[in-house]
Amino acid sequence: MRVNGRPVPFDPRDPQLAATRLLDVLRDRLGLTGSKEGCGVGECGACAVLIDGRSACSCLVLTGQVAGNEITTVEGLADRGHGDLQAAFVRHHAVQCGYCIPGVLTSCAALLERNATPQRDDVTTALGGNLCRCTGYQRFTDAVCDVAAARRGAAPADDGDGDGDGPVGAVGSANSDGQRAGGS
Amino acid sequence: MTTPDTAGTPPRNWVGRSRPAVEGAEIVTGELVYVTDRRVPGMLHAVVVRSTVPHAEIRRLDTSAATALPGVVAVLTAADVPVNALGPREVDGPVLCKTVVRQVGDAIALVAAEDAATAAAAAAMVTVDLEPLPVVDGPDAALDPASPQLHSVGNIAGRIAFASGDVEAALAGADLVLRRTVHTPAQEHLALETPGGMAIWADGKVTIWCGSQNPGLHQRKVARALDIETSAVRMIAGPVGGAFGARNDDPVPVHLAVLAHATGRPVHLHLTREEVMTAGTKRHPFTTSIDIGFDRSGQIVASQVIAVADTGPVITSGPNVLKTSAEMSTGPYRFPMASFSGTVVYSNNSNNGAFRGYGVPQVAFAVENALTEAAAELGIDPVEIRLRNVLRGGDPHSLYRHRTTDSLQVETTLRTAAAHPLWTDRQGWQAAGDGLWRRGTGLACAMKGVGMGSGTGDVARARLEIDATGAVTIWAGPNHTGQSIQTTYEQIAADALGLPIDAIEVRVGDTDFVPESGPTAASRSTYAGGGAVTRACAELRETCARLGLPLATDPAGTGEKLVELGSAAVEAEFFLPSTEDIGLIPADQLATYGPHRVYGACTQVVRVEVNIRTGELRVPDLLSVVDCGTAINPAATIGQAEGGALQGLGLAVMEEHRLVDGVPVTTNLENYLAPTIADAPHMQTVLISGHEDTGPYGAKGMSEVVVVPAPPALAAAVLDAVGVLPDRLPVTPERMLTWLEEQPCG
Amino acid sequence: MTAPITSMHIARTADDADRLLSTGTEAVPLAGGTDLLVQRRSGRSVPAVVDLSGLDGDPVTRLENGALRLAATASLTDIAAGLDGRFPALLDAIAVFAAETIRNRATLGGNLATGSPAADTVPALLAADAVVELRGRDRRRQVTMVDFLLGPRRVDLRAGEWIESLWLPAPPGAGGMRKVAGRRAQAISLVSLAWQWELDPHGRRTAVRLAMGAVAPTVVRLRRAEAVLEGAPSTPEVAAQAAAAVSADIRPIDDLRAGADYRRRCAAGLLREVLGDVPPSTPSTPSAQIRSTHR
Repeated sequence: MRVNGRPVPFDPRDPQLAATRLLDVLRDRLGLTGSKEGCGVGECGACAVLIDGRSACSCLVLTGQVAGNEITTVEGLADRGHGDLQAAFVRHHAVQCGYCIPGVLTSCAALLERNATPQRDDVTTALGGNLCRCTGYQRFTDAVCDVAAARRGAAPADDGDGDGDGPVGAVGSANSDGQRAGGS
Repeated sequence: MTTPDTAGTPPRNWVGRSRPAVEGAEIVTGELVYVTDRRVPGMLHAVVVRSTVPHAEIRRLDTSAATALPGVVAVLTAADVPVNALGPREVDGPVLCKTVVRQVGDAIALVAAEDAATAAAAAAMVTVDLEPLPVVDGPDAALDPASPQLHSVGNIAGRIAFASGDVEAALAGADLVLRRTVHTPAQEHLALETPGGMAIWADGKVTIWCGSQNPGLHQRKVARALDIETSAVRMIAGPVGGAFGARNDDPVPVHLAVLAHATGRPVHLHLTREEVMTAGTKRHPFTTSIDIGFDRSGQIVASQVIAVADTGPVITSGPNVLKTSAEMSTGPYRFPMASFSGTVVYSNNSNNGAFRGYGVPQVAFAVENALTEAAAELGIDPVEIRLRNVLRGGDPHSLYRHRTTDSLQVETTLRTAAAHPLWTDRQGWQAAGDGLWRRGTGLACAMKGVGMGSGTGDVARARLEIDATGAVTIWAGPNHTGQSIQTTYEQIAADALGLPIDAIEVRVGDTDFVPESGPTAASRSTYAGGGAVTRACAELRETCARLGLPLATDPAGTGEKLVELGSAAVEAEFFLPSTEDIGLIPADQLATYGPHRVYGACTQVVRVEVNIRTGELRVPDLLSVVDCGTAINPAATIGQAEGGALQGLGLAVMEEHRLVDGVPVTTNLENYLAPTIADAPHMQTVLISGHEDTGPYGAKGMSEVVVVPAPPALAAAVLDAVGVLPDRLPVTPERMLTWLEEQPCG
Repeated sequence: MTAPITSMHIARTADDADRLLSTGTEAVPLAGGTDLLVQRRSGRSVPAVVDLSGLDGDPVTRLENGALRLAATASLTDIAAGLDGRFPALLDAIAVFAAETIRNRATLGGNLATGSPAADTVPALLAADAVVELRGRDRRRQVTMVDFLLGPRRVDLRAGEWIESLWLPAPPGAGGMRKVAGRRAQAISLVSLAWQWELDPHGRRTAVRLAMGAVAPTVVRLRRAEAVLEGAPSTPEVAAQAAAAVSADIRPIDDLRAGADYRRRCAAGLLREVLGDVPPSTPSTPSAQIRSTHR
């Protein structure tokens, strides 16, 4: 079992660990607290991680089940080449409280890895299992489509530093649907 | 706004520009340590022992077996809490139940152990003998004199009533009178991070990391429970995963503090989703009746609104929510005469508390549905009937007759929405539908007060310090629960000081550093917190001007000099301005009604498709037009509008916390449905230009009002689609099909 | 609180699985875990599990003498990819099954074994007359879907047995599945319907098979509606007759998600929709039609 590209410093087939939820091993054993528990029953997706490149709820996986697999958490997304996706989420104001974001990003990363030209409906399908209570989801789709276009060379590539420290531009321009109308 | 700025106003570089959240990079990399992520060596794991029944007497509580379990450090009951109260009144409820439990999930004992599994095992070994008592399962039971009285004051948690004249007499002269009753359900906040965090007791002081929308209030609650000074309590309220009102009334900070105090060890507690859905607060369910009259031209003649709300076993925000309902029972309209009568009762249902919108969505559903129905009955366009009655800035409020702010632009939101293609193309869009999925478009509008209201002593504070390098740190509140208020405060400060934004750092949510600023609530954070930041910056500029220091051109030199002079720190306050004319409200009862001076407004347009064979609903599009004055951070403002609209839409079409005989049955995310991305409409948001003179750079709050129009707009869209106006939320497929079959349409 | 799993064994091969499940303990077969681990949290005691999610060997889908074999322990995502357009009703079912995070782990075997009348893949399998292939130590047996589904949360799966595969003797080339739920992802069906039929040169439906979920103790075939449709022309009258016949084959109950009465009405409406019996579009005029739901 490898997590974020590194072998884990324990035996995932150890009887006690094998029967422990992957989420608990990630958070408590490896200190990777990026993955969150929002419901414990696979409904909210805050715990989603990549298992061999596919997004799954780590609250519904026992560690022994993935003893031979490659796990990627939000902490490993940049090393997997998704720094631009992370930066796009910041740039598109797709984060509010942020608690759902680790799972949302891993689901989006899985989508981009298998589909270089995702349409908006593809993002909807990929994120059906990731609940967000803050954003209304629209920025997620904007960010993913933007990144996909940039990776195809269809738009200026992002600097990828994810620091989001620059102004986004003129009023309302961060969101294509954000318009301003004249007052009374 | 006018600032005492003798050096001239710096240009606006940041206010009005979209700026990504300052903590965004830490969020997307997973580095941000939320309060429940916090771990320290030697920490204990805690579990709460809870009631399994809605109402019972505690006959016996035996913790001996649990205490004896190896690894268990403490099993605490009511007797172990120095002052077993969550507030100054009996109706605030206890920290831990001693003699009686009043809802499923009521906290009875706290267990702390060396590891989580031991804590869970010990909790299961606590023996609680509960003698069931008759269950007060809602307002009808609560108001029945034969029912048990849940508190010494009885079953009524609050009443509020006001009339501006004889409404019944006025209705007698109306051309159209509608007498309608609507029902709105309890709604789960569903902040993604469930309550929890950590507390450490050291050197006579407790530090608590736990989500809170009101760190000062929680600090006082902890101090009361532990019988210690507030200065011996430090609340660190973030980072936290969402709030929406749920972290106003949450007892978890107190539970954490009690555990740390008793054990002397760091304690970690993190509630499960099932626990918070059972024991946590919800939006108050309401039954709202409206009697409203119109003349033939669609002008409102008068209305009488009667609301009954259920607050559950303890008072939390019940009467205050009802106060807001009263104020908004006339919607954003001019009523020549109006009355409101509201009652909030105690019950053994889940506790209900503050929730984004705070009593407004419930009454707005009644008012807007009445406007929608009257328009149809009188043959008037739904926009036109609203324009004929719309409240304009500076108009007297329809119930209390106090003066409203000049910046109120309900009318512009209505006109802007009405000119939008989603509205103007509604007939073409409807005609393009098929016979199975019937299409309709609906519109509704709303307004909501900003801040806690006149006479309530609402004040926010900010402390600012410049160092010898010219770097500025600002400690301000209200704090961050997901809206990145720090980013907004930084933008305000950068412009107010004329400094680069990178030179400014804002810190929120820590009672040791942030001066008491009240709650992150009532749409007040940007308005009041931003107001305090603006004033603190103005004071610094004033100091610099007085001393002839060039802050903007030489911040380092200026900082160095100010540090040397001992003048590097300033603190400022922003008092919520009361309305200039309090209208019909007796001066000594101003706080009882808490009328607002400043209001934000929103009009929404919703498109719906109704499957006439299954009752399913789809909502492909939603438009929000928002009157928020100056949008300090427009993209963040639009983000609030989108998220708020979807929360309102969830209430409209699927969300409902349900109980059977006082026992919650929607206790996990499998059976409580909230909108997924597949349910979210394509959303468009228009922020109209405006300026609120009392707000920072002309800003006013907007994050609550955007929740309000969605349910009645959805109802109006259903009416347009299939000729039925829903009177009960949520509009589930089952309800929809029942209504359709009562009036077949194909 | 959720009781811990004290023993977990990982099966590498089918024989491993047989052996590990036959040790006399109460070990439960675990594949995707997306249902079992949820049940465990709601109080089901699962002291020991045998993991089948990593079995080596068989391909996800395989054609043998015209019959299609589906691996019961493969993820639904893999099944959908392996079907490659075949068996459209099952593809529809997988597309509306929970969400991608769940489909990437959930299996046909798990969805069957749980015995839920609302299980999303089951109507398609029942309509297609799938055969369940079960195995355990020293035994193998094949059970038809009708015989496998015994009641709510009850299936013909004996101690020590697990579901290895599903066989479709005649994989359907046409058909579909439609689900009605409280939301459009991550939802348990209120009513679901899978169908398959052929059209003869005269436009008549033949070989009609309909199976409905969440309307009876198990997923059920709508045999009376099938009889109405068999050989009949595709007319609104026939559709209405078939819809009227649905109620004879279903026994819905009230539960948290919907009432029996709604399920009955929705079931009939859903069949009419699927049969293409759709009323003409007649935009309403609210002012003439308004009727408040107020009583």
